[in-house]
Amino acid sequence: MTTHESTRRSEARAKGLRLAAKIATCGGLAMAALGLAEARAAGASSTPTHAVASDDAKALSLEGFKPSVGNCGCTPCWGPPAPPAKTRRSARSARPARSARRRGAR
Amino acid sequence: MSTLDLRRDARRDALAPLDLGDVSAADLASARSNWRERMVSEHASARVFGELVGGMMRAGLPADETHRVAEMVRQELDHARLCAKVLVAIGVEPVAELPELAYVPSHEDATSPLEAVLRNVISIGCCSETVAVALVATERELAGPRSLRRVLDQILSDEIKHSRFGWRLVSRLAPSLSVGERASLDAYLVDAFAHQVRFHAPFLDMPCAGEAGLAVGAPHGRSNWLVFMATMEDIVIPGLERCGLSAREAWREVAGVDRAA
Ligand SMILES: [Fe+2]
Ligand SMILES: [Fe+2]
Repeated sequence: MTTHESTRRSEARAKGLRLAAKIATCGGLAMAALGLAEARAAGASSTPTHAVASDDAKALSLEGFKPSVGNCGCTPCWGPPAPPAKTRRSARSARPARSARRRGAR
Repeated sequence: MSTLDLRRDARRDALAPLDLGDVSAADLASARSNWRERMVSEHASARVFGELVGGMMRAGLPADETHRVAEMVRQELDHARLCAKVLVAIGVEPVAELPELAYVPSHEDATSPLEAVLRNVISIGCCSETVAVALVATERELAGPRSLRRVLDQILSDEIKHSRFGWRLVSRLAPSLSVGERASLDAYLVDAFAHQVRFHAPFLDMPCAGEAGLAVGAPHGRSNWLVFMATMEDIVIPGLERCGLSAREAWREVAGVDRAA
């Protein structure tokens, strides 16, 4: 991997994130999100050495997520998940009982 | 298990074969499997929008929004055809196994039809499609051949609509949720975010292509993971918070640490 390649990837990520941030407009959110996402993606591109480190090291630093949530990535599950019953939190048990009524009727 | 065969579709307005001279054997194999998986994925995602239509009707959402979602079904099927054309241009038959597909949840346990449909809209539009925009736009920047850039431009222009649809609906409808509906939707965010991480975690095991490979669509797993994480933490979480939802708390529950702070 060359520094040039890493810098190009970093710049490409910044453009991709800038576009996504523009879309997620929700009551003035866009500008703040745009700056944040861009800075994160492109911050490394000014110094080539950091750019190389950033690409790999940053990704690895975020790897901690992986074991805690498992690994799926399969096409059949693109789309919203059904909430597993065991993850119901207190907020759910406190809400109006449409679901309980429906389950009871089955 | 059935077969997705888009050979006939790929022949219509076929792309010229791409020059693959500079691409290493490993990167070429990676590009081929990526485009094949994407063909299946785009095709299968059409059903998700199809099933969203019913939920939108049950929630009494505006007819023009429902109409747009129906068009998204067609757009996703078109994306699969575009991927098929790319596959042929890089020397692969656009035929793949279509796995058994998960049902789109109707969320019987939701507090109302509106909360039920917003769960799906957030998961699809605000999360998956916003991540897709960031990923495809990144890939487009690195793409080499003009014909490939045109394909990615076409896919990207639709994914932008799909993402925008999600943000438009959530920003308009979330403020009108009752306390109970909002609490229930907040609780679902944990499931939605965990699903996002599960779905995108395979990036970390993917190979990382060189420049010539990236130019024809071979993935760079670590770079893609960075795009995913930045999209979630810097765009999706703050965006949902701005809509009045407790997204940061849900993300913290999934992540185990407060990375979004
Ligand atoms: Fe698509
Ligand atoms: Fe889409």
